[in-house]
Amino acid sequence: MLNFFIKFKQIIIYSLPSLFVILFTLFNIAVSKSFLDFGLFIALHGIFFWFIHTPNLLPPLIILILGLLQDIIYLLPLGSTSLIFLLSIMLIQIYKEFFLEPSFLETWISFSIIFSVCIFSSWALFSLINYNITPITPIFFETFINILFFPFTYVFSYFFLTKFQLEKINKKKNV
Amino acid sequence: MRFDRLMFPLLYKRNKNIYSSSILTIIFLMIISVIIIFFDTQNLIKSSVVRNKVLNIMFLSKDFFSSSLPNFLKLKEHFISKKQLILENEILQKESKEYGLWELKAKRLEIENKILKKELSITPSKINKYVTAKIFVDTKSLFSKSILINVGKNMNVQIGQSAATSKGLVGSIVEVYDNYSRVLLITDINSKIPVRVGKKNIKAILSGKNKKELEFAYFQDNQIINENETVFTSGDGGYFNSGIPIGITRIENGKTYVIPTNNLEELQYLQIFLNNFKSF
Repeated sequence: MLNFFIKFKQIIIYSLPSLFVILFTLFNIAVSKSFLDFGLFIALHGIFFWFIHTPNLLPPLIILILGLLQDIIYLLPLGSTSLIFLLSIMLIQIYKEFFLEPSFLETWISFSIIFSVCIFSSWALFSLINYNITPITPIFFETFINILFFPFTYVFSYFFLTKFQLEKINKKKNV
Repeated sequence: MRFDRLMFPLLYKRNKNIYSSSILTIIFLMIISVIIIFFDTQNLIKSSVVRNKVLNIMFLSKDFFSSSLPNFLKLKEHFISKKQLILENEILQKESKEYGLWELKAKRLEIENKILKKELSITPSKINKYVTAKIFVDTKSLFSKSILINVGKNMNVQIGQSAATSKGLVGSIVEVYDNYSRVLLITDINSKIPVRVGKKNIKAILSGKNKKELEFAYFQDNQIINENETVFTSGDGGYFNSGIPIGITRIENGKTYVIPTNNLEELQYLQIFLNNFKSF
């Protein structure tokens, strides 16, 4: 029985990055939506942070599934959010080649750029899917509040990263 | 964590070791995503079945967790004092008296209405059956406008039924699960409603644009729509019952918009009309 709990704890720790992405989505739907809507791309906070620090714990296949989950929740064409999420991790992968040891400010600026690229790409994608140009002005507000909110999610995620020593686990684990 | 350094990214040298097969994996998965989008938008796969099953699992797990938590509201009830209960009772008695008066007035009007209808020999309209639902999850985003409500197959809700409040139309049911269903709001980009405008009964098609207001996608030939005219569902196509108010027209920069009568951002409850098509 004890063995089971140890294994269960291990699974939870290993899946913390994915759980964080889901948590951010649920936070927006259940808590913040009524007074401040961060939009469906709040999940990018988690994806960005965890893909930089623990890429082995957040493989692209999981990101594809998380994107599909978002599509199901928000009634969007299946695969559309996955495509944007995968685009974001490709950008993060390229970004990681430039930055060997990024500071917080560098990370924040990079997040702002990647987030903006992703949200505008999604706008273009959804306009293309619907054969109709969707309004662009709400995107600016959503981008702004997400960039503003990023330091909070960063500190929150960083706490768990250090608490459970996930970077060490990431180095050991080869997914 | 270092907060002190800001450097231009290109100053760093490329670490070729990191340049691995992961980019290829990502590209491969991106191609898969594009294929899924194509299949879904062309209706080559039944995405509603997948959505249905995933959301049902999510709701079941949510219900399981919420039912296993202690009911704090019941605990709170035990702490309500006697004075508060007496006060609440007085308020409720007052309210019930007021409602009684309203009921009497309503009955009188109903009788009067029946007499007048008999005199005009109008055939009686069928009574609308509806269920009141609470908005369970607000899933509005920049690119789609939908909400989840807490009634589903358990209350005979079916795809295509209209959702409205006392003020007017809210949307229509697009997906039904066991205990929940999804309402596509009238402001969604995929929403197209046949309507009649104003006293002249001008026929038109109203379309959502993912904005707060709606736009006309089609007008009857050579018709002029004035400002502050009420827009109703026409019932054409049999999708909605006729005569449900949608909004009021507004003209800005020569373009005609429709402002919905309901504030879709602040909805809490709505009614689902169960007998669509019956009056058609």
